[in-house]
Amino acid sequence: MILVTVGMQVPFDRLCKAVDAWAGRNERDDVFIQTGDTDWVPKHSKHTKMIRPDEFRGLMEQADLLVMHVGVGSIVTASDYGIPMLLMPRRESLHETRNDHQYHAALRMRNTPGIHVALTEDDIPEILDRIDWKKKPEVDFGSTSPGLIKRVSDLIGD
Amino acid sequence: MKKTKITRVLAVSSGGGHWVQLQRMRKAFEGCDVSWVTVREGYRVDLEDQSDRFFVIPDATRWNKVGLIILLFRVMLVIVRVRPHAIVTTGAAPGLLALMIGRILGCRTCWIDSIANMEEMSLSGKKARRWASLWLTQWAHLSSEEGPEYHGSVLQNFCREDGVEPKEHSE
Repeated sequence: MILVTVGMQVPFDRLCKAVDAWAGRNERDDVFIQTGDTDWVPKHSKHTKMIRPDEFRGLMEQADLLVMHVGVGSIVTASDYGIPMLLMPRRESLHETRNDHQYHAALRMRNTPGIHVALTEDDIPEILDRIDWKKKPEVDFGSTSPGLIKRVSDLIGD
Repeated sequence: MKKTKITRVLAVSSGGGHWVQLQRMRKAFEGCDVSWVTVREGYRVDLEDQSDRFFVIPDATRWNKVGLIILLFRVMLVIVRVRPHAIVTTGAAPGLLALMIGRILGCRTCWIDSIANMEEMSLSGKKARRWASLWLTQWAHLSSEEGPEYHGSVLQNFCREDGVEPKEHSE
């Protein structure tokens, strides 16, 4: 299943529309979109405006791919589930966010294993076409750096 | 004979990603008596050691003055009860308040800025500077001689910055 989520605040139709259109062209019946509070309604995907946290956990456990904006907090939270992500930044110029932090974060994440980055909605179909759906990749952002643990533990033990 | 005292650590965070990151620092607290402070009762299940003390405080934002005063009072109450030797936080508002009170009371204090702050230190992170004995960023490119320090992150493969060498800090 492909799970698209835009969070509880501002909708992100640009992302949702691109994935919904791809689902239509490829006759995929396993796309679920949480659209946020928007008037636009997906044509080819299962959808809801909001997801309760407990429902969200259930969906995450079934998901093969998580599609969302470049919210590092959301990414860290999602990293516990070990599923690959497709991320697209909200842009300041389109009034989707107040600054371009998401765009700069997206540029930095292009080399991170387990993360696909779409800089615009035009990149979405090509990335989705490229993914090998039969193979479930292992995604692991790793444990905490030993150096960080040591520095904090040294402070505590002083 | 010298008495061995167990170090009391207070680990503080707000919700969501902050809490996830605080949990990932657990190894640094090994052998300590740990008390956790966060904003949701539901997070209790995440504790590896269920005998750890767990306190829930209100989830106030820094813009709401009344909420902030209540929060300050609640955090103070927890600190007075736990009497920690060290306080570690991953942010945001509750962690900043805990560091302020803790530092005044003589605790060793550590601010770990959230991994979400990739472009610059968070607003509360900047304010935490003068209250933190150890002031950390999780991004190498944000560290400098004057601080914050960088020693890695809670997701070491995620933050791999190609071509950026972490800066060394002398004590």
